[in-house]
Amino acid sequence: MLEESNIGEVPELTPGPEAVAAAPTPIPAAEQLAALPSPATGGGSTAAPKGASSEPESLLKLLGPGTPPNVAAALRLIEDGRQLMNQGHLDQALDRFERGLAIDPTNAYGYYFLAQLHYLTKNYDQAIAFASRAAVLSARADPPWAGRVYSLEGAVFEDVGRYSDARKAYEKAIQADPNNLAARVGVARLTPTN
Amino acid sequence: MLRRLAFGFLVVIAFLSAIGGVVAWRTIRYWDGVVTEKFRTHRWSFPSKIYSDSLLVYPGMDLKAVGFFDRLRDLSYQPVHGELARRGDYNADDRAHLDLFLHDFRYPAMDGAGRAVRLDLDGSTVTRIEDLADHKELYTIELDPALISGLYQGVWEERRLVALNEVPPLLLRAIIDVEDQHFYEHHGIDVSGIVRALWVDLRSGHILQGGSTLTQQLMKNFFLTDERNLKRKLTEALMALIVEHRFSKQEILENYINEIYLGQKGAQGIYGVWEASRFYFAKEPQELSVAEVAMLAALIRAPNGYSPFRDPQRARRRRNYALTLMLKQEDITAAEFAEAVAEPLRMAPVVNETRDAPYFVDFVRQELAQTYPADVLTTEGLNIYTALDMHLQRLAEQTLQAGLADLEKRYPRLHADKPADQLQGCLIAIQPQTGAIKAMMGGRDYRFTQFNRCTQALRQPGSVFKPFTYLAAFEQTRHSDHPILPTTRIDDEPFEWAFDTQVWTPANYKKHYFGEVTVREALEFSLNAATARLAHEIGLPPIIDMARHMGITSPLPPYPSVVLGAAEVTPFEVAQAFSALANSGLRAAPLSIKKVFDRGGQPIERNPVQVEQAVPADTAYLVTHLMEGVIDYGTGHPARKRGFTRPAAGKTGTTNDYSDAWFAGFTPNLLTVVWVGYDRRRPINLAGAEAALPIWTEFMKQATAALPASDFVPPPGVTLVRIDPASGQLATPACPETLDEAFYAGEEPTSPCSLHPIGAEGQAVPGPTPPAGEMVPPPEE
Repeated sequence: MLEESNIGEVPELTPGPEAVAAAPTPIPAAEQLAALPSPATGGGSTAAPKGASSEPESLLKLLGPGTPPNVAAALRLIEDGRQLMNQGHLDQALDRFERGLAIDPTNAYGYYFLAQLHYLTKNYDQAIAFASRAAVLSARADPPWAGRVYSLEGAVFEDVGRYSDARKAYEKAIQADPNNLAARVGVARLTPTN
Repeated sequence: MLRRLAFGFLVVIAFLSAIGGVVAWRTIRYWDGVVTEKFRTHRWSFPSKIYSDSLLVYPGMDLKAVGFFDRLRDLSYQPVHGELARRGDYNADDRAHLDLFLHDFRYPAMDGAGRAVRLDLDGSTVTRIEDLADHKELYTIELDPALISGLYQGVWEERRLVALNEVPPLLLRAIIDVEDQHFYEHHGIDVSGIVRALWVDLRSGHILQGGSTLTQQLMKNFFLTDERNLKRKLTEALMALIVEHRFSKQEILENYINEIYLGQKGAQGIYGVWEASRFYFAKEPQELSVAEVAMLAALIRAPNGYSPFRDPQRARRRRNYALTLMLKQEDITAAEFAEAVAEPLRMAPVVNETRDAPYFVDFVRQELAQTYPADVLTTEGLNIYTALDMHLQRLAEQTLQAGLADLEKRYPRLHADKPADQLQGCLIAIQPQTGAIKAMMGGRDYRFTQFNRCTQALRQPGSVFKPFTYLAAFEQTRHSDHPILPTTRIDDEPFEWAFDTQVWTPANYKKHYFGEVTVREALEFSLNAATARLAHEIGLPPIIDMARHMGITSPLPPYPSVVLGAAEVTPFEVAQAFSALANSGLRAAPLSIKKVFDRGGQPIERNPVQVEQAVPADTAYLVTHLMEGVIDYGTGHPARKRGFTRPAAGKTGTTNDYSDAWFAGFTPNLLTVVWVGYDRRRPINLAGAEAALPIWTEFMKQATAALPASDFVPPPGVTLVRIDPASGQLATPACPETLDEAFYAGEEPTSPCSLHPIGAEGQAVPGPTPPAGEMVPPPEE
C-alpha cells in the first residue's frame, strides 16, 4: 500500500501556477518548473513569451461517464503527477506518470508530461522520444494537445541546437493548433531575418 | 629431608600454579578481547528480497480478471467476519462490498500506515473506493508487492530488528520465566538453574527445561555451533561470563530477542520475536494476547517440535506450561491465567511466501550481479522491486504447462519420458510502452532444468524475422519514386538468389506458390519466395540494420537466408524488437528491476522507463497493420478461431526442419512471445500456428481481460484508405471486398477501383477480369 496520504485520494482541483518564460539556469526544480514550456501555448523556456501562458486545464475535465475505468484512473494519476511536478516533487511525479501509463499505456497526456519532466531534468533524448509518442497518440484524438506536444518537441530541439527540427516541430504545432502562440513565436524566432 | 621434599613440592606447585594462572589469565584476556569485539560488532545478515510489482486497484476494475483474491491470499490477508481489527484483515461477507485493512507498505516519500478501505462491488467489479476512517472517496489503492524470492547465503534468516522498548514487557518477562528465571541475578551461568532443570527433566521423563542461561544461548547462536560436547559448553560458559561482565542485561536481552530462531516458513527461517509474531499470529508484538505471548516464549526451546502448525495439541500443552511459569512468577494474575489457558490456538494461515517465478528470479539475479557484490545482496537486506505481474506470471506458468501437455496429448509422438528429452517451451510477456517484463516462463519445469529458454536459448526464428524485412523495405524505399507499399505486387514464384559462389532457393511452405501477390498477402500468409524477392530488391544490409535497430543483438551473418530467419536469436530479443512495433517505433529498454531500496527504506536504484526511436512511427504502423492481417486473415488466424477477439498483430514462425515453432504477437498494451521445441533440436513437425499459437492465444485471452480492448492508433503521416484489395485502388460501392489499408500520407491511391467501376447512375459497370491466381490461404505457413 502506498502510504502517502494523498495518493489515491480524489484531489481538490487547484489551478497550477502561472508558467513564466525565460528561466535562468541552473535553478531548483520547482523554479525550473515555472519556466516550463507552457503546455497551454507550447514552446519552451526560450519559446514562450513572458507571462503569456498558463497551465492547461485539469485533465480531470476529460473524465466522463463513458471514460473507460483504466483511462479514468490513469488520468487521475497523471493529473496528480502534474501537480507534484508543479510543486517540484519530480521523483514522485515520475512515479505517478509511470503508474498512470502502466494502466493506460496509450495515454497521450501521460507521455506529454513525461516528456516535460525529462525536459526539466535535461534528459533531452527521452524528452524527444516521449513527446513523439504523445504526438502519435494525440494527433487525431486531440489536435490542440498535439499542438502543445509538438511545441514542447520544438523547444527541446531548440535547446539541443537542432534548429531545423525545432522549426519543423513548431510548424506541426501550428498545423495542429493554429492558435498555439508559442509555436508561432518559435517559428518567427527561427526564421532568418534579412 | 622430608621438609626439603615438602618445600620442593610446594615450590613446584607454586610454580605450576603461577604458570597455570598466567595461561588462564592470558586465555581469559584473549577470549575477553575476542568476545567483546565480536559482540560489539556483531551484525546480522539480512537476505535481500525480490518483490513483484504492486497492484493498483481502481473503480471499474474487475477484481477477478486481475487475480485479486489470489493476491490477497499470497499477501497473507486474512478473512474476518466482523469489523476489521488490524492490518491484513478483510471482510468479504457482503457481496455488495469488500472491506480491507491494507498492510503497511514502506516506500520512500510515501510513508504512512496501512488504511482500512471499503470497495463497493457490482459482481466482481469495483464501483467505488472509500477510506473507512474519514469516508473520503479514493480513486486508487495499491496492494503491496508480493515477495517472490530471497537472496541469501546458506540459510535464509528472516528477521526484523526491534528495540527492547518496542516489545511488550510481558513478552520479555515470559521469555525470562520460561528460559532463564534468574536472568537478572546470575553473571552469565546459573548453577542452580542447571540443577533445577536436571531435576525437572528427570521427574518429567523428558526435557522441559534446559540449563543454559539466555546469555549462554546467545553466545552459542552468535559464535558457536550446535555441537554438544564439554569443550563447547565450557567455551560457551566462559563467553557468557565475559559478555555479562562487559555488557548490560538490557543489551544482552535485546540481542537475544532479535537473534533467537523461532520457526520455519518454507525456505525462510523465522528469527526474532517480531518476525515470529508476524508469522504465527499475523500481529505486531504489541498486539499479542497473553496466550500468544506465552506461545512465543514456549516455542524457543524447540520451535519446530512445538510448532502449533505441526502439532496443535502439543503446542497448546507447551503454551500452558509457559503460562504456569508466568503465573508462578506473578507476571500474570490468576484471572489472566485462566482466560489464557482457555484461549484456543488462533494461528495465522500458513502461507509459503515465496512465489514461483524462478526463471525470472535468475534473470533478476544476473541483472543485480552487474551492480552489486554478492555479499551485499545476501547480507544487506536490499528490497528489490520488479515489474513482474504475479497474476500474469501465474497465467504464463499455467498456460505454458497446459499447452505443452495438450500438444503431447494430441501428438503422442512428442512425448518423452526423460525430463531432458521433454518437449520444451517458453513464454515472455512485456508491456511494450514501458518495457516492463510482466511474465517470464523460461521452461516447462524449473525443477528439472534451469536453462532459461527466454533469455539463453538461441534458436532460429523462422518467419518471425520477416517483419524486419518488411520494415526495411518500406523504410528503404519510402522516399524513392517507387516506394514499396502494402499494395505493391510481388512475384511469389520459385526463385534463386546468387551470393558469393552459392545459390539460395527459398521455398514456400509445402511448395505452394501463389503467383503475383501483394506485400500484405506475402506477410499475412508468410510466403517465403515473395519475401525473399522483396529482400533481394532492397538488399541485405538494410534488413540487418533494421533488425539491429529494433533490438536484435545476436550475430546476423550477411547471408540471404537471414531474411527468412535462419540466424539464431533468443525469444527475449524477439520480444524486445517486436515491442518497438507495438509502441509506434519506440523501443523501451526491457525493465525487470524498477527500484532497489536499502534495509532502511532509502532508495539506492531507480530505473525509469527508457525509450529510443528504433523506427519511424509511420513505418512501424504500416507493418503492424500488416501483422494485424496475419491474425485476422493469415497464418495467425487460429487465434481468432480460438476466441481471441481483441485488435492484435502477430507473426508465426516455423523453421525449415520443424524444430522451432514460434508465435510473437501483441495488442496495443501487451506483447507476448511463445517458443516451442526440443532443447536437442529434434523436429517437432508442427508449425508455429499449431504449436506456439494456441499457448499464446490462451495466455493473451486471460492476460488482457482486465483492460478494455483498444486499437492501434495510426500516427501522423499515415493515411487509412478503403481499397479494393484486388486492384489496390480506392474501393467503390461495387467492390465485393474492401479493406482499410494504411499508406504513407501522399502515397495513398487516388483513383477508383478499375476492376469494379461505377457508372454515371451509380451502378457497377463490368470491369476487367480480376487477376488470375486468386489466393487460397494455405492452412499453415
